[in-house]
Order: sequence, then structure tokens, then C-alpha cells
Amino acid sequence: MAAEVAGILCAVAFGCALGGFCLAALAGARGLRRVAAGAGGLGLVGCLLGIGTVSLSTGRIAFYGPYESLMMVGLWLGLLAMWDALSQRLAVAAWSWGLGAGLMLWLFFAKLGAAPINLIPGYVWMPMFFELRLAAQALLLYAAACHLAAWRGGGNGVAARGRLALLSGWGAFMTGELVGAWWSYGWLGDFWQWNAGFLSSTALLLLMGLGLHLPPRWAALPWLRLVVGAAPGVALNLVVLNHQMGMGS
Amino acid sequence: MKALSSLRLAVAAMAALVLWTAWGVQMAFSPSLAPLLRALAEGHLLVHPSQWGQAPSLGMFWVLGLLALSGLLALNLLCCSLSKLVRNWSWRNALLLALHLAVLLVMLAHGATLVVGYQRQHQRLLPGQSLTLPDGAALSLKRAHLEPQPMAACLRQASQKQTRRRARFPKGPGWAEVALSRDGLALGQGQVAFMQPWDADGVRVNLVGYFCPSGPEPVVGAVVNVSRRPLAKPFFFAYGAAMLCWLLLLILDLRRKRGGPAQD
Repeated sequence: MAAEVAGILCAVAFGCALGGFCLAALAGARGLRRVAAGAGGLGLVGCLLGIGTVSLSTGRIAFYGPYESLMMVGLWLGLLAMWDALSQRLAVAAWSWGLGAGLMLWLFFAKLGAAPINLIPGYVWMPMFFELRLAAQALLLYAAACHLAAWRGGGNGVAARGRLALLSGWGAFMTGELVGAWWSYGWLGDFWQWNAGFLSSTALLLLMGLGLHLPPRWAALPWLRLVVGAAPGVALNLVVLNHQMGMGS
Repeated sequence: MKALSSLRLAVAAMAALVLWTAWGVQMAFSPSLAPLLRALAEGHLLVHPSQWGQAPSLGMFWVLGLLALSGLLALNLLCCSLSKLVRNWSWRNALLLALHLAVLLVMLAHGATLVVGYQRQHQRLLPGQSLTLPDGAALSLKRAHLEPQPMAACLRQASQKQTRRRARFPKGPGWAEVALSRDGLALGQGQVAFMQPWDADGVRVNLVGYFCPSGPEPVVGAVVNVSRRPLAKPFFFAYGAAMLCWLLLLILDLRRKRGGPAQD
């Protein structure tokens, strides 16, 4: 695929994803389910177009740099939001689309398109590590959306759903860490490195653990449940985005 | 026992550790603390208390605080698992118990690397040179090969110019032949390449780069990491078991359609 065509398609995909998620969040907040689902679908199409363009133009799966990563997170988050919209949980869907749109805004500060990377053919651990991290980013943001909806009156069922999402995000992140440890062991000879990256991953894992271990009496406090439920998603996305902006912007 | 196994203590220890590790992230960027982190990675800081005085006091305070808080969390994890999860038998509780114990083993394996085994990072070896390892073994480089050959000349040129630019990792295939011996007795000889380590007698050698010293003849040297991690296999096994338990728990919770597990 020609670079100019890929560039145009990536920009169109970004526009669809951002516009679709923004419109879906607004329509969802106003209770317009069909409009929200349609706009959410447009956002999903945008994410798929972006991911497909990157894959076709580079010959690899999308996982690296700000554009590819945010499109992947947007795809997972958009799918979860669509599932909620179709299951009559519009408040959670609206928050998910809103957070997805907020995430897409970062792309105004990054290059739209694939990030350059030298992949070792057949070495799957590195892309797997990044893909699991992206899945964790989406799941933890979804957990944040559930807790926001619960805080705004969504009820205990929504909060329990947020906790399940937090548990899923913890597992995806921890599996990513296991894969990363194996990658590090094969590359540098040790499964742990004393550096900022490994320490921040540990801090994030502990932050997720906090949300999963609140004593029942503390978990009954809506504001505390919101803080510990939403903090891991926000923190992980900020940490990863801060790192990625240096990779492909 | 009740206080040690409480969820409040778990939350307090985790919150403190979040702040402590976040502080550690900030400190990891400080050049004055780089030797301390390297000493931790190499595994000799806690084995030789005589070195404690040489380390920056703030850094040592952080290391000891990290160990104390991690120890407290591990103790809480053990007490909580044994007192609460064993009491009421169910498949879910059994999985939760296994998950908690596996995470505890992962933590212990991490902690054990501070006193068991060693690591030596970015060791530069020229053909014929050898490196004495902490356990008395000697690693020597037989030869290093890098393709395409002009890349070697390029490295040499960069070395002579003493440029501050970080040399790009060569894209061409290359390898290094290394040998391990102890007390003059050969333990093995093998080839290492990027992402293709060589293991012998519990020692792992990883090729992480090449270099070329300034001189009349172009000679390619290898940059290697050498480590001995006897707990690597148990670590990965415990980690894998923890993830398997998590997956089964998730499936169990999703099948029950309870909307989420109870607060554990």
C-alpha cells in the first residue's frame, strides 16, 4: 500500500473513531440508544480501518506506537460499549465511549500512522506483551466507566460489573507481565530488571490489587469505590501513553 | 493472626507499596542511584552488608523500606490465605487459595534474586578475553561474527570518532562463540545470537551487542549479559499457575452470572 494512501486512510480512520465515539457518548448520555449505537458503530469502523491500514501497509499486526495502540484500545473499548448498549446498560456504554473519545484526543499530538519497529521474524513474545497490555488498558478503562456509571446512580450491579472488569484487566496485565518476563529472560538473561519500567508495572499491579481487596465496609462507600476502581485504568493509560508518545510521535 | 490476615492490612500494605514503588520510579532516573540499582540487579548488595555504607543513604532507605513493606504484604497474603480461604471449602475458594499462594511464590522468587544467583550486565569481551564470574567460573569469547562485514567497519569508525550517539543495533545476522570453564576444566562451548541465549552449568549467556575497539586491525567484540538464576524455572511455573487459576476463576465467575465475585 502506498504511503500517501495509508496516511489518508489513517487520518480518515482517526476522524471516524473520534467523531463516532464523541457522538455516541453524547447520545448515550441523553438516552438515545439507537443513535448512540450507530455512532459507536462508526467509531468501531474507524478503529478497524486504522488497524487494517497499519497491518496492510506494514505487513504486521498493529501493536506499537501511539496510533496503533490507541486504535486497538479503542476497538476493545468500543466493542465492550456496544455490548452494553445492546444489553440496555446505556450509562456504562456512554462512559466507555466518552473515555474512548478522550483517549483518541491524544492522537492530536502524535503521528497518524504506523510506528517504525524492527521485529524479529517468528519472535512472538514481544508483540504478545504489547497486545496484552493494550487489552488490559481497555479492560481497566471499561472498569473505570462502570465505576463512574455506578457512582452516578447505576447501582451495585454496575459496580460489581466494574469489579469483574478490574479482575479481568488485572489478569490481562499480569499475563502481559509474565510474557514480558519471558521476553526479558530470553533477551537480557533475567526475568526482572531494576529500572523505571519494571517498577512502574509493579506499582500499577498493586494499584489494581487495591481495588480488588477493599474490605466490604469500605467498598460500600461510593466515592472510595470510584477512586480505587477508576484509578488503575487512568494510571495505566497515562503511564503507557507517556511512554508511547516517545516511540512514534 | 486476625490482624495479620485482615483486608485492611492488605490494603494499607498495597497502598504504601504503590507510593514506595512510585518513589522508586522517580529515583530510577537519578544517575546517583544507578550504581545501587545495578548492585541490586547483580545480586550482591544484600549478600555483602559491607557495601551498604558505600550506597547512597536515601537509596538504601528505599531498598530496606521496599523489603519491609513487601515482607509485610507477603505475611498478610500467607495469613489471609491460610485463615480465610482454607476454612470454607469450595472450588472457588480452592482456586483463590491456589492463586494467592502462587502470587506469594512469585513474590518470594523475586525477593530471592537479591541473595541467590547473580547477573553481570553489558560485559565487553574481545576474542580471547575471559571474564571471571562470582561463582568462580570463567567465561571467554572465542570469536564474534557480524554480517554484513561493513557493519563491523562502521562500528569501528564510530568507536574511533568517539561519537556520543548510541550505535544502532546491527540488523544483519551475527553470533558470538563463547566457552565456559572452571578451574581450567572446560564446562562447555556454544554460540549465542540476539535473543538466542546459551545455557551451560546453570549459567545463561545473552548476546546484547557488539563493539569495535580503536586500533589498526578491525576486531569485533561482543557485549554479553551473564546470569545465574536457579529460581527462573520455579518463578515461571508459579507465575503460569497463578494465571491459570485467574483464568479458571474468571470463567467460574462469568458462568455464575453473578455480575462479579465477592470482595475477597
